[in-house]
Amino acid sequence: MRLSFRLKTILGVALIEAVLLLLLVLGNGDFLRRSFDEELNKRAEATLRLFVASSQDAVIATDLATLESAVSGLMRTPGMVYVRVYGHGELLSQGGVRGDGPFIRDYHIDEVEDGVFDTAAEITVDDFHFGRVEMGLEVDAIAGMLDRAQRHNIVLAASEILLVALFSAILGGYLTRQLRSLTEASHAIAEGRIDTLIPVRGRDELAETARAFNRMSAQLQATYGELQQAATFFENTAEAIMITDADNVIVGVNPAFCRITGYDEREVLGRDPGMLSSGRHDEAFYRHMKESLEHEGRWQGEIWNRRKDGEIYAEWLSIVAIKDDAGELAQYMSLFSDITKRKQDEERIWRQANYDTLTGLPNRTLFMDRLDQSLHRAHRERCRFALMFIDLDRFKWVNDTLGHGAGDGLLQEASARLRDSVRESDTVARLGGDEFTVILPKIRRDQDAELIAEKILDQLQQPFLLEGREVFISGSVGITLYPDDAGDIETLVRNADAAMYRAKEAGRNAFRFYTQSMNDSAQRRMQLEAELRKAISAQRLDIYYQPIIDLVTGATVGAEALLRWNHLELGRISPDEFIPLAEELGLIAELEAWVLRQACREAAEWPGAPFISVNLSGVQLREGAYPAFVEQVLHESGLEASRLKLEITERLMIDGGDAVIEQFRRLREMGVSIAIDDFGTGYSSLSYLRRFPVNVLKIDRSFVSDLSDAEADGVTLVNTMIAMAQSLNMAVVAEGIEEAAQAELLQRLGAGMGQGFLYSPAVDAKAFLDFLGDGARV
Amino acid sequence: MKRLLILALSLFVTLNVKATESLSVGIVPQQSAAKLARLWSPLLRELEQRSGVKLQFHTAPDIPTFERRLAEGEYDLAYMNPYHYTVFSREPGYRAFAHEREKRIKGIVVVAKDSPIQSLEELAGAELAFPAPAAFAASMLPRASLERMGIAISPRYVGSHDSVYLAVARGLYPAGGGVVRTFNNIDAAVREKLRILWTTPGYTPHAFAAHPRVDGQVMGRVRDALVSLGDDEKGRALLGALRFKPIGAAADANWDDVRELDLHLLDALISE
Repeated sequence: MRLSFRLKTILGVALIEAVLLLLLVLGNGDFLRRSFDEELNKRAEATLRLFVASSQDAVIATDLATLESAVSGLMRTPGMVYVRVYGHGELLSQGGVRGDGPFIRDYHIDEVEDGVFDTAAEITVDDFHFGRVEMGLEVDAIAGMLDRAQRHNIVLAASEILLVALFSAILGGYLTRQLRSLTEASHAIAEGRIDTLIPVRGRDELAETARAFNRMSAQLQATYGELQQAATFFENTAEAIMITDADNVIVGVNPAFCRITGYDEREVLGRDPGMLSSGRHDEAFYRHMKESLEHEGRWQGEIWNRRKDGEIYAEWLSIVAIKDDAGELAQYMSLFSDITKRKQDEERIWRQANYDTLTGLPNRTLFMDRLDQSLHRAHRERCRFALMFIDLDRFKWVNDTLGHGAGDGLLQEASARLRDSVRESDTVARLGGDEFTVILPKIRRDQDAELIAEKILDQLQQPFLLEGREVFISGSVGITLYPDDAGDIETLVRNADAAMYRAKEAGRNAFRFYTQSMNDSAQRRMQLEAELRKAISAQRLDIYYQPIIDLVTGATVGAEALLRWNHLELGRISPDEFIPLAEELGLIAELEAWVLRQACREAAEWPGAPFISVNLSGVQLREGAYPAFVEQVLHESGLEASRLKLEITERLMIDGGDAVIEQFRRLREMGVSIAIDDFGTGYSSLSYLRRFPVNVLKIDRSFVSDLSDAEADGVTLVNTMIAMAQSLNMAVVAEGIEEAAQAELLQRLGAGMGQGFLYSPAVDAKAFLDFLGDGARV
Repeated sequence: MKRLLILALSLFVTLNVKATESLSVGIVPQQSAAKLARLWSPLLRELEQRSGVKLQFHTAPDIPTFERRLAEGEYDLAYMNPYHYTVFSREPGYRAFAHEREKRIKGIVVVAKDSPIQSLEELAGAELAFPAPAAFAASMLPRASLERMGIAISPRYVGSHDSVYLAVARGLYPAGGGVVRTFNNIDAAVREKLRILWTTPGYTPHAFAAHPRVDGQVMGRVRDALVSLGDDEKGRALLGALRFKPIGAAADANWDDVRELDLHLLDALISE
C-alpha cells in the first residue's frame, strides 16, 4: 500500500502515543492499586500513632474530657467511620458507629471489610499495657480517589493522543504541502519554465530548502539567460564564429561564418579549418600561430583565406583556446570578420594619401616618410644615402606652348624614365609641378650617386614624343649625402634643393653636389672622363713593361704590359683610378684593344723573344669574337701566338659562362697562353682551374710579401699553390718580389718565374729594351 | 459464631481476674500520667508478685481531679500527700498503712540560679508559682510558713511540680514551690538553671492508704510486700527508681504533725 508521508507520520505518531499511554495508564493504575493498601495502612497508622501520642496521658489518667474532645477531633478526619478508646479494661470514649457490636474483636484488624478498614493500637508504657485505640477508615473515599485518578489519566491520555494526532496532521500537512510545491516547481523547471519560484514561508529547514531551490532557480535563469544571449549572439553576430575541437576538427559554425566563407554548415563540419587556407601564408606563419595558441592560449591577426568560390579575402581573426575544468585543451574558438573591403579602402585611401595620381609616383607625404625611413636605416646601419632633387628645365615652356595635356604627358613620361634610371630599392617621388626627387639608399661611393645623376640627365635629354611632336628638354639635379652633408631630413631637403639651383645656375642639364668637396671630386671625375676619352681616342696613354724573370737562371723571360697615364696638367694618374672609370664609361674594350695591338707590335721587335703578358678585363669576351680579334692582332703585329699571354682575374673565371670558356679554348688552340692574375685573392677553386684552360698561375703579391717574414703559414700557402699549379701542369709566376730572400725561397719552393721591384719596376718600352740588353748581358 | 466465642472467652477472663483480688492504685499526679505510669508500673508489678494481689495503676489528669476521685473513693489504694491524707482520712475514711520509713517531707522554694533573690523577705509582694493549692510540700508547706513569717505573696497554680520548675527556670515567676525529690527528678538541664532558696521544716511524708472497703487482710498482704522491698536488692532497686527510701508500716497518728498545721483548704471537698 502506498501511504502518503503525511498519513505515515500521523499513523506512526498516534500509534506510538497510544502504546506509550496505554502502558502508562495501566502501569499507573496498577501502581495506584498497589499503593492503595499501603497508603491506607500508612494513613491509618499515622493517624493512630498521632492519636495515641496525644491521648496517652489522658487514657492513663482516665481523663475523659480530654479523650472526648480528642475522639471527636479524630472523627472529623475524612473517611473516619469510628473511634474507640479503652483504658483499664473499659471503654473510655467512643465516636461513630461500626456495625452493631461494641467490640472491635469481631473484625479483622488491618483488613478491609464491609468497605471499612479496621485498625487498632495498644497504649503501653514500657511493656505495661494501659489501654487500646480502635478505629475504622472508609475505603470508598480512597477507592473513589483511585477511580478518579484513573479516569483523569485516561482523559489526559485521550486528549494527548488527540493533540498529538492533530499536531502531526498539521505538521505532516505542512511538510507535504512544502514538498509538493518543491516537486511541482522541479517539474516546472524540467518543463522549461525556469523562472519558477517557491513562496518561502517561515524560517525552518523546509523554508531554507525552498530558498536554496529559489537560489538554484535564479542561478538557472541567469545561466540560461546567458546561454540564450550567447546563442543569440552566435546566431546573429556579423562576426563569423568557428569552433573546432582539440583535434582541430570543425564542430560548429554560425550563419555569419557561412555568409563570409560561402560554405554551408554541413560542408565544413568535421573538416579541417585548413580547407579555408588561401596559400598566401607560409609555413612559418602558421607555425607562429600554433605556438602562440599553445603558449598564450590566443592568437589574433590578419589572415588571408579563400572562399568557397575561390576568392581570396582578408579577415581579422581571433582564436582563443578553450580549456576544460581539468585544464586540458577542449576547443578552439575562432572569430573573424571579412576585412577585405576595409583593406581595399585602406589601400585606396593610403594610395590617395601617398601617391601622385598623375604619375603614380609617391607624393610628398610618402617621400618624407621614405626619407625618414632611409635616414633611420642609414643611421642604424652606419651607411650613407643620397638625396636628389630633379627639376625639368623646360617644363614651363612645354606646358605654356603645348598645353596642359602635353605637360601632363611630359610629367608622366619623365616619371617613367626616372624610374627606369634607378635601382628597384631607390625611391622616385614627385613633389609637385615639375619637381622630382630620388632617394638612393646604401650608396658606397660618391660616384654611385654621380652615375645615377648622369644617367637621369641622359634619359631626360632623350626626345619626348608629345602630341605627335618630338620635344627636347633637360634636367637639373641637386645631390646631397647623408651623413656627410646633414643629419636631419629638413636640412637634407634644403641642401638638395640648393644643390639643384646651383645646377640650374651652372647652365642646366647638369648635376651639382651640395658640398664643395663632392663637387670637386665630381668635377675631377668629369674632367678625367673627358680627358680619358680624349687620351684614348688620341692614344696618349703609355704602355709600360715589367720584366718577368726566370728564378733559376735569372734570365728575363717575359714582360707584363701595364697601362700608364701621364697627363700634362693633371699629372700621373693611377690605373686604379682611370681603369674603373674607363670601365664605367664603356671605354675599356677600346682601351684594351689598343693596348693589345700596341704591346704585340712592340713585343714583336724584342730580342730574345720574351713573351708579352696583357691584362684582359673580360668585357670584350661578351661578344664572342675576341679570339678572332686576337688572331687579327697577332697577324698584324707578326707576334707569334706562343709569346702572347692573356691575364684574367679569378672573378672572370667564376662569372664567365661556357661561352667564355669556349673562347679561351679557341685562344689556347691558337697557341695563346692564359694566366690567372692575382691568384689567391678571389674565389679560387680547384674545379674552376680544371675547367679553365689556364697555363700560368700568378701568385698575388700579398702572398709573396708574407714570405719575407718567413712565416710558416705563408710558406705553406705558397708551397701549396705551387704544388697545385705543378700538378695541374701550370707555370708559376710570383708577383711583387722585392727581396732576394723571397726570390731564393720561391725558387726553392719550385716557383718558376717572378716579377717585382727586386728586378725592375714597370718601365717604358725604351727602358725595357735597355733592360733586355742588360739582362742579355747578365 | 467464631467471633462470638472469642468475645465470650475474653469477657470471662477479665471478669475472673476482677473477681479474685484486683485493686486499683491511685497515684497522686505529681508528674505527667505517662511518666508516672512508667515509674510506678514495675513497682506495682513486683508488688503483685509478692502480694498475690492484682494491682492496677491509676492516676488523674491533675491534682483537683485526683482530690475529687479520692473524695469519691474511686481508688482502692492510693498514694497521696500528707495534707490529702489528713483530709480524706476523715471522709471517705482512707486508712494509712505505710510510708517511707526514714523520710521527712520538706517543701522548698526555688529561684532561678542567676536570680538576685537571697532571702524569703525579698519575695514579699511577688507572684509565686505552685503546683496546686493542695500540693502539700510544694504549695501548702511553703505558703503556711510564709504566712507565719508575715510575708505576703500571690500564689499562682501552674498544675504540676515540673511546670513550677520550668516556669521559674524560664523566668515566668521569680520563685516557686517544690520538693527536693521532684526537684531531683526533673531534667538536669532544667535543674541546673535553678537554686533552692529555702527549705521548710520536715513532716511525715506521703501516705499509702486504703479505702475502707478493702479487706484488711488483702491490705496487709500489700503492705507486707511493700515493706519487704527494702529487704532485698531487687526491691531496693525498684524503690530507688522512684527515689523512695525503704517503706515502713504506718498508722494514722503518724500524720498528726500535719493535722496540727490546721489546714482547711479542702474542707469543702469532703463536706459535700
